[in-house]
Amino acid sequence: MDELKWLLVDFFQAMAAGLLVGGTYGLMCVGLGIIFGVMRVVNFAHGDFMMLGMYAAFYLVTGFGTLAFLGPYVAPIVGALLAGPIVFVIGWLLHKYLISQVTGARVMSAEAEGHYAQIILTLGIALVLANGGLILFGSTPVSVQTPLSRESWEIGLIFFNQARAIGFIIAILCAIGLYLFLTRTNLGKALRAAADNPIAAAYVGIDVDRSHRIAFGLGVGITAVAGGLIAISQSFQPYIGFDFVIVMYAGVVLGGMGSILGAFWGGLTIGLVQQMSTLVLPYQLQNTAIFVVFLIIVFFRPQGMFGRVWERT
Amino acid sequence: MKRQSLLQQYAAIAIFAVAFLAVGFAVRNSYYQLMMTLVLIWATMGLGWNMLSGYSGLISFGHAAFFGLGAYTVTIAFVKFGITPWIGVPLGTIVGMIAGVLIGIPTFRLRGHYFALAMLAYPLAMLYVFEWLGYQEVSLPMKRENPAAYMQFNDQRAYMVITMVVVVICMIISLHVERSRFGRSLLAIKQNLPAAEAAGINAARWRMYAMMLSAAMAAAAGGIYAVILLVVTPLTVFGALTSAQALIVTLFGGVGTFWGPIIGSAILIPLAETLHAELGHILPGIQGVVYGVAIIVIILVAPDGIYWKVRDRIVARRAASAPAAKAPTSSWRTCTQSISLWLKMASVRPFNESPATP
Repeated sequence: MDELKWLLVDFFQAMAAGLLVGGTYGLMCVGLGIIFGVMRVVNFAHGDFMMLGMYAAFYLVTGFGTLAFLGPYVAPIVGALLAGPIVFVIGWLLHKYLISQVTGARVMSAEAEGHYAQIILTLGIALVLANGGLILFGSTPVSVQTPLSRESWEIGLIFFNQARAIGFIIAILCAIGLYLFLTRTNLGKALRAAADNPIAAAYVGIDVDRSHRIAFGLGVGITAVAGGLIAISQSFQPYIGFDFVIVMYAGVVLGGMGSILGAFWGGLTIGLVQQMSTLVLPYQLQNTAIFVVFLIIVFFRPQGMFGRVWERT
Repeated sequence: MKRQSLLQQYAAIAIFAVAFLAVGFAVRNSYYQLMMTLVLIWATMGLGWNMLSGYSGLISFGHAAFFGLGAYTVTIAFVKFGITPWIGVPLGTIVGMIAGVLIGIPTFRLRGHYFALAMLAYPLAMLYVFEWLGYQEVSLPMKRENPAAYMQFNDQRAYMVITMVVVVICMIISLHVERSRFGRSLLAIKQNLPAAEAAGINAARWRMYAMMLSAAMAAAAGGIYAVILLVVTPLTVFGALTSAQALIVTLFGGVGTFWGPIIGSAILIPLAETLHAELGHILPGIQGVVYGVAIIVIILVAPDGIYWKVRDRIVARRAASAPAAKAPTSSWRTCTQSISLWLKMASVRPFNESPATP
C-alpha cells in the first residue's frame, strides 16, 4: 500500500514538473508558431534567439545588476519580460536585412526552393548567433540568480518549484495576451493576414513587408521571454539553442501548423512528455524521448492536434 | 563547349590527387599535414551529403548520425573486441549503410522541411543514447608492437594517403552516379517529384540507393576521423555542427557536382582551422562564426556554390569570345535545364500542396 502511494506521488510530482516546464515550452512554441506555423518560414535559429533572450535576462538581472533595485523576487520576472523587446529589435533587423531576401511573396512561388534557401540561411544565422554568443558570453554555464529557484510551495505531498511556478503563470498570461492581441486588435489581424496570405493582404491595403518584420520580431521576442523565464530555474550556455530547436518544432507540429493556440498545447504536451519520461527512462534520455515523440507525430499525425488536414507534411 | 569525356574527368581526379599529395608530402609541419587530412575527411563527408541532398534535393541535417556511427563502430570494435581499424572502417561503413536504410524507410515519406527536421532529430537522439551508454569519451589505445596493423603511424602522411584513397573512391562513385541513369533520375526527382514518377522513375528506389551510398560515405569519413583523432566524444561526432559542416562545405563549393565538396572543404577547413588556432584562445567560437557567415554569404550571392558560379562565368566568357558557340551555359546545366523543362511540361500541379501559399 505504501509503495503504491509513493508511486502515485512520484507520478504526480513528475506531472506537476511537466506542467510547470510545459507552460514555458508552450510560450516558446507560440513564438515559433507565428513564424513557422503561420508565416511558413523555417527558422532554424529560433533556439538561438531564445538563448539571446536568456542572456538578455541574465545581464539585466545578475550580470550588470541593472534591475537589482527591484529586489530578488521581482527583478527576474521583469528581466524576462524585458528580454522580449530586446530580441524583438534583433529579430526585426535580421528579418529586414537577411531573412526577407529568402521569404515573402517573391520566393513563395517556388515552394521547395524557397524553403531550401530559408533552411540554409537560418542555419547560418544559428551558427553565427551560437558561436558569437560563445565569444561574447563565454562557455561557462550561468543562470539568473534568485532565491525563487531554491524554494518551493508544497501542496499535499507534491512540491512546486517557485521559480518554475511563477514562470508558468507569467507564460500563460503572456500567451493569453498575445492571443488577444492577434485576434482582437487591428494590427494583430493585419499580421496574421499578411502571414497567412501575403498577396490577398496586399490587396486589402496591408503593408506586407512591415507586417512580416513585426511578426518575425514578435515571434522571436515571445520565445525570448520564454527563454528568460527558463533562465530563472535552469543554467544555460550559448549552445543551448540547438537542444531547444527540436523541442519547439515538436510542439508546433504536435499542436498543428497554423494554429497559435495549438502551438501552446503542443509545447505543454512536450513538457509533460519530457518530465514524465523520467518515470520510466533514465534521466539522460529525456531529450531522446522528445525526439522519438516528435518523429512519431511527424510520421503518424502530421497535421497535429489542431491543424487543418490539408496542411500536412 | 564540348561535353567532357569520362576519361577527362578521371584525369582531372588523378591530377587533383597527385597534386594534393605532392603538396602534402612537401609540407614538413605535421600540423599542416593533419589539417590537409581533415580537408579530405570533410570532403568525404561532403561527398556523402551531396550524394543524397545535392542530387536528390532532400536536405539532410542529420548526416552526423552516419558519421558518428562510423566513428563509434571503429572505436568500439577496437577497444572492446581488439578489431583493427583496417576491418573497423569497412565495418563502420556497412553499419552506416544499414542505418541509412533504417532511417530512410520511414523518413522518405516526409517532404521538404519536415524531412530536414526529422533528419536533425536522429543524430541528437543518438548523441544522448551514446552518452547514456557511458561512451562519453572513448580513446583508441596505442599499439606498441606492429602499429601498422592497427592503422597507427608516426607519419601523418600515411593517414593522408589512406584518406585520399577513400576520397578518390567516393569521387569516382559520384562521377559514375552523375553520368548514369541513377544520377539523372535523382535530378528529375529533385526538379519535380510527381512528374518524375509519372515518367516512370521509381523515386523510392533511387532515393534509397542514394541514401545508402550517402550514409556509407559519411560513415567512412567518421571511421577515419576516429582513427586520426584517436578520441571520440558524442558531441564531436553526433553534434549539430558535424551535420552542418557536411552541408556547408558542399553548398559553398557547389551542389550537385562531386567537385563541390572538394572545393568547399579545401577553402573552408584551413580557413576555420587557422583562425581557430590563431584566435581560438581569445575568440573561442570563431570556427562556427566563419561557417555561419560563409553559408549566409553563399546563399545570398551564389546559391548553387562557387563551382557553378565560376563555371558559368567561364562559359559565358567563352561564348562571348566565340559568338558561334551553340549554348551560353555549360552542357551539364543545359542538360538539367532541358530535363526540368521537359518535366515541367509534363507536370500536373500536385493537388496536396498547401493552397494557402500563393
